[in-house]
Amino acid sequence: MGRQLARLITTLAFVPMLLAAVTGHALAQKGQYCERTNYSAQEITDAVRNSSLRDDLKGTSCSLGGLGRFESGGNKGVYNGSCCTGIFQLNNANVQKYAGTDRAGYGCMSLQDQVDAWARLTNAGYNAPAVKQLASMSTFDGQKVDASFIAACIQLGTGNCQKMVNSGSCSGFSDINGTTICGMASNARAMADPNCKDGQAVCGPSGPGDFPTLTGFAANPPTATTASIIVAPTDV
Amino acid sequence: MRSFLVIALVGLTTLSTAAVAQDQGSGAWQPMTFHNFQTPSKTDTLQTLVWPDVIREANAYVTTELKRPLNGKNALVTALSSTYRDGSRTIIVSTALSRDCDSGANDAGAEIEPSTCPLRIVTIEDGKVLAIKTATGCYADHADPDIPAKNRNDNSYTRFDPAAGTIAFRTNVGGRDVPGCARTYSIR
Repeated sequence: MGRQLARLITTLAFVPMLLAAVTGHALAQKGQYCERTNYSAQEITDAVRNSSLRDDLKGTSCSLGGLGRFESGGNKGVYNGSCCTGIFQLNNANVQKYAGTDRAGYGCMSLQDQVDAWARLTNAGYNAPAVKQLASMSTFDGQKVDASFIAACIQLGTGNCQKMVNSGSCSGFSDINGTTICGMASNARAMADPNCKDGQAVCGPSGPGDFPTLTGFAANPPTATTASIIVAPTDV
Repeated sequence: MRSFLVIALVGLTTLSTAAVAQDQGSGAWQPMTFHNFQTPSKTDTLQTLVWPDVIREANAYVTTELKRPLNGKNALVTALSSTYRDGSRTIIVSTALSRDCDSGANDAGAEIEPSTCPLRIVTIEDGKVLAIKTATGCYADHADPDIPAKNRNDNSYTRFDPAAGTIAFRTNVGGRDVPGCARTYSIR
């Protein structure tokens, strides 16, 4: 019953588009898949925190909730009439690659499933040269390079982001509506829930004690005979 | 009108499944044919010789990462191809939409962009692969019926020059050729 209702809603939402096709009008119409939602920045942030997104980006996930609001207004079924669908407005190609489905299937997925697909895309984008270059900078054209900046770089496409990085300026790339990566990051920060509390960023190894091991040091201490440094309880 | 549409659809289906080789001299741009690999095939050269590793990897991604059953199908992998005959050899040029592609902007204000994807040029003779060249090429299709009217002819095109041993490549999106997608590949 619920599925039939969802299908009916989807069909009705595309009636204007079908009419345009039949009558030959060259219209790019926004569309709606399944139910219209209005997820808050905090709800989107919570989904990001429950996703497989890299820990260092999760560290400032409040702004990523803001990014979801900026892209879709919290409406997970919205199609922009051209390329992009869902809470983070994934493009058709990335929907196919990271959600394994088509646009209609993606627009009807749950918030968490959509965010999971976006997290996979963002994690994959982290290895792109443009992102690595940005991640090695503390500021770019006067803007702080933080999680929202990195996410915006991947969001607008790493190839497009590379154009911006190569230019050395925020204006080095903008989409057809004039949205720049710097502008998107700034909007994401501004649209975060004001009460949202970012978690502690998980830093990379910074000293011997921080290096990951297959067996935990504290739980599996070396024997005294194999240890190179022996610390007596009185030394602590 | 209806019979025309049926004939056109049958024609398109035949082309897309058979990947007909064309003996063409230089000068004629050929629109690349769209393929969807969701239905597994042991006779489709694109699935068996050109992109088997990409299909396998996409299948593994769906079952292990997305934790979704495939129920005897392949994952949603799509590709474009052109096929040429050069004497006794068949040359297939193909680009596939995979996670190795860079697929442009994800943004409410964005429009359709081509993806920059792996491209393979496979030379076959007597059913055996003689050479596989790898490069990158632009991927754009118009399989989606809900895209804007201006994108309904989006495609990549190839042109084979047997004398020069090259294949020229271009991609049209939204009625315009994308400058960054213009390439010429040597097949020798």
